[in-house]
Amino acid sequence: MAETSPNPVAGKPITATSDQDTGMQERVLLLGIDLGTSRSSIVSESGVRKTIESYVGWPKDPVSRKHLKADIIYGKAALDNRLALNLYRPMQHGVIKGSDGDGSGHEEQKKNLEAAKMLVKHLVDLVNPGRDELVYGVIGVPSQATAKNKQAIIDISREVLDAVMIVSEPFTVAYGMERMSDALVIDIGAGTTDLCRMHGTVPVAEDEVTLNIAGDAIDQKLYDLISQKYPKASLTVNMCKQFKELYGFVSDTKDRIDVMLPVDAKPTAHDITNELKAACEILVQPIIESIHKLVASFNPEFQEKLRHNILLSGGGGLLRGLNKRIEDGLVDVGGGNVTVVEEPLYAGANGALQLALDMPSEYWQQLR
Amino acid sequence: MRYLFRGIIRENGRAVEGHVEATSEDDAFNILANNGIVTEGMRPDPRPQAADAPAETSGAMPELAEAIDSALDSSASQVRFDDLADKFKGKNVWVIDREKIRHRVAQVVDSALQQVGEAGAAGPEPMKEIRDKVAEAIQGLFQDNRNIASQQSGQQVAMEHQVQRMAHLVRQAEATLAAIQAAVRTGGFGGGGGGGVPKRMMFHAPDHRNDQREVLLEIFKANMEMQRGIKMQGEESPAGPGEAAPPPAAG
Repeated sequence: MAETSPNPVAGKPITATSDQDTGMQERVLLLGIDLGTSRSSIVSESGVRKTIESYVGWPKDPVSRKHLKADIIYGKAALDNRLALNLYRPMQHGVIKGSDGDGSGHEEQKKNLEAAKMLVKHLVDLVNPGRDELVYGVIGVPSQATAKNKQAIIDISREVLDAVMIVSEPFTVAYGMERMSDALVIDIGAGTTDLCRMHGTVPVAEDEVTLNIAGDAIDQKLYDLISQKYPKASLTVNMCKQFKELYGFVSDTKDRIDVMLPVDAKPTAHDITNELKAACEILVQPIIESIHKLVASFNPEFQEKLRHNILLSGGGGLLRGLNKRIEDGLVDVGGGNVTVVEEPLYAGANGALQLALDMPSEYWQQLR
Repeated sequence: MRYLFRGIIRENGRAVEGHVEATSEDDAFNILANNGIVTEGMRPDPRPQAADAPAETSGAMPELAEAIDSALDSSASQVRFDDLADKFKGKNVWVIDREKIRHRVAQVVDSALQQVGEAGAAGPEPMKEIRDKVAEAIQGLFQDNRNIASQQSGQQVAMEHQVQRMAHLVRQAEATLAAIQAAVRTGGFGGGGGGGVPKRMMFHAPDHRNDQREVLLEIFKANMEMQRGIKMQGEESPAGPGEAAPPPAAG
């Protein structure tokens, strides 16, 4: 039976795309995408999966273009060559910078949109879709992204993908882990920490909390603390990010963490154990408070179950001892269990792909 | 039992390699010693199953065929097929064809002997002429690889085509099976017929697939509304936020 087109246009016949018999069978490649502030991941149904740093750079001038031998540079290569590039990190707090119309100039907003579009395009290119394949993707966005944020992501994605859906990131994690009911997901990214309670349906605004304290905030805090302790050491926020990713912890460890920092251009060992722990700990209390808030407003019969079914994902899930610290913080409110998901960096993209695979094909057809 | 041996010829010290049929290893040593061969190494090397019936293709020269087989066995070594497949992926390859070699050598020797037989009855040194002729014929045979190898690409392509068809068939079967299962779950079957199934059997436990379907539908609806809103907005104002400027190429 023919379905009517969802968007009738005056003067055009009303047909559904699924009813148009082109005489050929369409091949579709489904993708799950986690468009992150720091890293973006893509997982394809063909089994290919890639993660790149969310940086896009255009050569500053013809000299740098000749040196770099490319018109656009992505990921770590862009970061490594940032001095020769107009470098963009198009995502901020999990959404495209300036997509809220939050004060950044119109020109800057357009550049970030273009950078985000090229980033999505590059991610799709990385999974090598066939020339005759349609590409459908589910993209994870922070749970409390505004309508404008979502609209911006759909806009840029539709220029690259044939059909796109956007879904809250923690929801994709829960969906991928098949923990759709009585579970609480904490997704710690670079820009935001998203908490979402699952109760068997699509979460609504009351089920979700987004904190702006996440990986980037830790990097900045670490930068401040180290600069304060070792004023002579040369340091950048990017170096702090690397230290965090290598050694980040919140457990009671006794291992000393020494890093090499240049002092008057001479690499010198510096002990950053306490600073690193202090920086990473800024996450703990806000997360515990948010869990408490989400549990307290949940049906009392299921609160116990919710507290004992907490999933930790995203890059922040890799901080050593974080699950234990959150569990300790929950002792006062009845205790709980926090599990770090198997692949924190890919959990969002994996779940998004699972959603894409489960989505009936007629839904995809209508979104084209 | 067949044994593979390596040794030297006692008279001239030339290295020699081949096979010998014997009931035991001791017997094999004795046979080789009686034939003037000093054995350096020996191991059992049972005849491969595929080479069990060489006589048919090698015509009236079964001993020659056996000798050729022995030469092929002793000069071949086993390699992992996966390594070869990786190395030659996507390429056409020529594969040494034992059957072809056996057949062609026998053919060549036979025709060389025939030629010498016809012309050499009057010759002064018929034996030397025979050997020269055979050597020349064998050399000619091995000069062109096409005489001893078969190209595999055509066959391979046909095989791949068959595999693809099989894969397509399996996909279709899976899809049909999934559709049947879905129909059964939703009660698509058994609608008529006058109540063959007791009513108590018609109650089902709640199916979590239905919940999932509802969740998917809800996600779809939310996305549909959002994208419809964007489209309508785009139609109202042509310069929407999605129309990004060209890349900032130069600073």
